[in-house]
Amino acid sequence: MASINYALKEVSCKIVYYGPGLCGKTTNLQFIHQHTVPDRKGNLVSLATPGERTLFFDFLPLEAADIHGFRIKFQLYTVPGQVMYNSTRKLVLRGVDGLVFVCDSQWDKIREDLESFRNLQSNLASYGYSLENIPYVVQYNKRDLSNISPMTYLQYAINSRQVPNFEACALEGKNVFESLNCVCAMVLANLRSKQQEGSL
Amino acid sequence: MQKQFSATGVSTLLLAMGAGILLTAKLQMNGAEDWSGIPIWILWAGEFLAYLAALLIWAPGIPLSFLIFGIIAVFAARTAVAGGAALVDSFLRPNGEIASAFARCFSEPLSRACSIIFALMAIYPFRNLLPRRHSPSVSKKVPSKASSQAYGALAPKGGTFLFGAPGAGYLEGPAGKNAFASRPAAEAAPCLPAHLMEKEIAIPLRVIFPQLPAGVLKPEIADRVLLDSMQVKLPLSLIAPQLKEAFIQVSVAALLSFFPKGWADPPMSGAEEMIDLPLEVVVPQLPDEILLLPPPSPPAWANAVQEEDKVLFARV
Repeated sequence: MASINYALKEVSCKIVYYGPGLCGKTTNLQFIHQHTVPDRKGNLVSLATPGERTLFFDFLPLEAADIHGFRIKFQLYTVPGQVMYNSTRKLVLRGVDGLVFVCDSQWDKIREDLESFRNLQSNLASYGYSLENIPYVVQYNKRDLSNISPMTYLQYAINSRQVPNFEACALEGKNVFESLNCVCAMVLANLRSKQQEGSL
Repeated sequence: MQKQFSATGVSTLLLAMGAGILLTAKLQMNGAEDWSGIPIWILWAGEFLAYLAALLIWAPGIPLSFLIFGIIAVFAARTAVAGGAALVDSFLRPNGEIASAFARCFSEPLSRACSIIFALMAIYPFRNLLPRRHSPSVSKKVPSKASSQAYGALAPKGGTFLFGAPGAGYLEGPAGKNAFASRPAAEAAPCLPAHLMEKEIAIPLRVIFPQLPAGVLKPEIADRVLLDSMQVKLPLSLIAPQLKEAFIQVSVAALLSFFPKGWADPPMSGAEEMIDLPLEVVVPQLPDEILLLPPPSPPAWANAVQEEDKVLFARV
């Protein structure tokens, strides 16, 4: 969960990009890394196979604008989407503050999206977390392709809670920053409400 | 039941027995104890009460037959510890005799207590083999979904073992099943409105033809399979319940029942095989109202965003 250092006036939050294999999680992080001002970002750490499959996870530290005198830091992670790496996905989810669930919009990938979403729910449950308590957005990626499902069906299948969602094309950067800003804003709002409740 | 005979349970039993044997033997070799004032019947009563208490704590409401079986099992383990200790004692002590060493385990209170304690520890991992009655107060409790999921995630499957592999035994039992349920009840597919029961979805024969068992289609139909007009109409009621799964399947037998007369012969085999219906064919034909979601009820965190937080990162 988020750490708040009152002495240093620093808040650190963890955002995880989750989704099936090859849906564009790493592409999201690469785009963010390439298009963020240099003094606000760290190095993008990525451990991938030659076939550009994430082997362990990607990590990108970012620093947002100061809010009420506090430096806000976000650590962006991706998980390996391949089914066999579930223990790594579970590990990356530990202490998560916010999630971007990245879907592949292609017809033949919707089932994988759904399975990944259920996998996310069960992995969160293994830590006692729930999507009711963790802010998340749904990003429908690859909207530039031709064989994609209409949004109504994707929403019906994956986002029945109707949390904020974005039609994206991570390669071109369409709605990449919008997804990130939305989840970060919700994470901060969630932190604020927890602080007001006294549970933080 | 088989789950209780895990490697962890058996290794716990062996380790407890081994430790019990060594400690009991050591206690015996330390010299005679001066407990002669305690009558032997008190020792037996104490031993029996210890068995009884352990079994009743492990399995509240245990039937009498299993209670007797449990007592016999613990006593057998305790005798095995005593026998092992006697064997060790006779080897290590000059002119030691197994029989006298074994007898000391039943007469000397300290070594007797030691063998009883280690026998109970050895049997402990197998306590779930004993049947128990659920107390009404426990069965009345209805845990919240969140708490049952958390419990499912954290509760070891067979209780607390003394030794265990990391991560072993998690997400078992009914609470664990809740955590791994395929979907929450709230997300289940809604019932089909009455006026849509008659609605049909047309599936071009060419998209399902490769999956049909060989020889099912009559030759004159198979020749025209690529024509757009060759379609099978399936009721929406057959498809709608599967829409939430993003995967629509119909058995060959069910599919053939919707074929026009004279198109197909009953399959010689494979009638129960499943045929995938492509989403890209089905979904565009769905009435809009099927995919309508109920009014949004996003969690509180989705609405509490403040204006100043909305642009944290800008693209450069």
